[in-house]
Amino acid sequence: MIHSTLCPILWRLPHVLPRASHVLLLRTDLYSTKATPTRKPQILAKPIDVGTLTNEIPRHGSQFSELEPVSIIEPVASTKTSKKKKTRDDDWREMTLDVKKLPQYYLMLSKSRLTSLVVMTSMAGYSLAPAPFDLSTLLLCSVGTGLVSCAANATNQFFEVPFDSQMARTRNRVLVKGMLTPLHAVSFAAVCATTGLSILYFGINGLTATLGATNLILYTIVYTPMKRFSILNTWVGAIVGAIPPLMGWASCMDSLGSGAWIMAGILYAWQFPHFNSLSWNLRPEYSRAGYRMMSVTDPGLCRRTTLRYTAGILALSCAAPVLDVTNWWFALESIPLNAYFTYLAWQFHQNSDSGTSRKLFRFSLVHLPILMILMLINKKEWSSKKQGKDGQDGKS
Amino acid sequence: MVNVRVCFQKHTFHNVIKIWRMSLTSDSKVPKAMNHDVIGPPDKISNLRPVIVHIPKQESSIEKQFRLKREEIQKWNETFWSNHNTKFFEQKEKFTANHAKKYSSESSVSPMTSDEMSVFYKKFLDENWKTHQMYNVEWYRKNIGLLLLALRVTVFKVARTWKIISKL
Repeated sequence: MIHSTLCPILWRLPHVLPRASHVLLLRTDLYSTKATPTRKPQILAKPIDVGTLTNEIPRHGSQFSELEPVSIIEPVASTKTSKKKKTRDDDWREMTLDVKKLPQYYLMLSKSRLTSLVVMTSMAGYSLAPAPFDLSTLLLCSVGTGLVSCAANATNQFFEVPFDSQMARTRNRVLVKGMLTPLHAVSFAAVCATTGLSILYFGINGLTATLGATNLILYTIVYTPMKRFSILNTWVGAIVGAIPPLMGWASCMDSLGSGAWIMAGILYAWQFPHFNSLSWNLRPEYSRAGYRMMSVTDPGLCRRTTLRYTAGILALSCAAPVLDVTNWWFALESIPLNAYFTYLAWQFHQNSDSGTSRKLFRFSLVHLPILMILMLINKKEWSSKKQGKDGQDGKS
Repeated sequence: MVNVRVCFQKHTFHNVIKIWRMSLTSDSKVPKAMNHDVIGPPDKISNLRPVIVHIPKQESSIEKQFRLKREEIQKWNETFWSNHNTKFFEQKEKFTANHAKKYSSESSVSPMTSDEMSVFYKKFLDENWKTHQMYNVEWYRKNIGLLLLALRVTVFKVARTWKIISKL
């Protein structure tokens, strides 16, 4: 099976001696050009057994990052722009603040995608609460939660510079590249935290502000260092993920009801399939950078919790109508979605490789928004709320 | 913590030379007209970006203190991560070589599966738990110390500018 011209490549991999049953799998670069524009396309070699040919082809991840590039090829169309980009990242650069790019830096510092997920879950928590809809409260809650999330992420990056430098996923963060000074980042975080918590406290209520402050502390002071201290970090991280819907609910009701707990429970459980599948492909980097992630320190537990918590989501979704949060249609509609999620987790549990973990991770990104939408569509109180409103109107 | 400090002292000189040589041998040039700090591409071993801290013409004592502290922490970080990463790749190579030996004796060569590799990842992480603890505590201390110093420098600079403006 080995083509004669490929043989020299095989000898570069010290632990492999060529054998007829091995095929050499060649792939080109594994990073998205957007995230790492300066990387040269590389051919990466991976020896594989013929028996494991199916489903063992990672597209973007660790298995290849362990391999040595066998050759570095210049892009076929090496235009001037690509060369320009290359020199920009490899060059020494004066550390001056580019004011025009400041909004972009702030977005990066706030991890804008993560923050928008947090805001969406808090909005879902708000919408699920059985009370008349009030747009201004919803907006205040979203902005407040968003700002607190920005503060948490900026503080997190301030603490993590040398660690972020170690991993391909985080190597391009603003503080790592020296686009902003640490003092600037912390000042940004302080302004965001103060504004966000003030909006929540004065604009909404004390309970929501307390939840926000708790989450800020839990994320920056407990979770961030804990990643390098204890395997328990994933559980703490899951609590951090579960608090935003509670904040949404609290800003509507000024208390926490069964619906809030169901939603928080789903988000708590969701973190496990989501994060475990993501971290599975980052094991080499976590090991080197000192992160005590479950996927490295206890791979067995990582597989089991993934399966357990997807089953947990299935159970929680069925419990929602029992606790009068949604109607019975929700349980029925969510079963196929959750069953497929559990099926993917089962596959990951049985055969954990980059293929199954990536499939699970991708589906987790689709799963959560769909489940939230189904939950809102089938909210129990939509009708009774209308009646309540009518009743109020009648009285007034 | 003691270990980290000892290894810092040992490598200080080495690192000064290294940063200096890197600025010479690096493909890209260090800007000559330096009115600001300059930051370079990531080091191939430590993955950290070297920073050359600019020395202003009339440097006040607090600015000097800040600059020296930054340089010290940078060297300390550079030493830790280059040692650590070298150790990782050395041990990884040893591990894969051992694996190859074991299997070649049985006359059936098998490539390293990711499961087998993860044994090494766990081992390396567990073995270096204490080193990381010490590094983390020390890094938090240094990082926060540097932040407070940066704040003091900023306040000082603002006050200085204010004095100049009020004189005009």
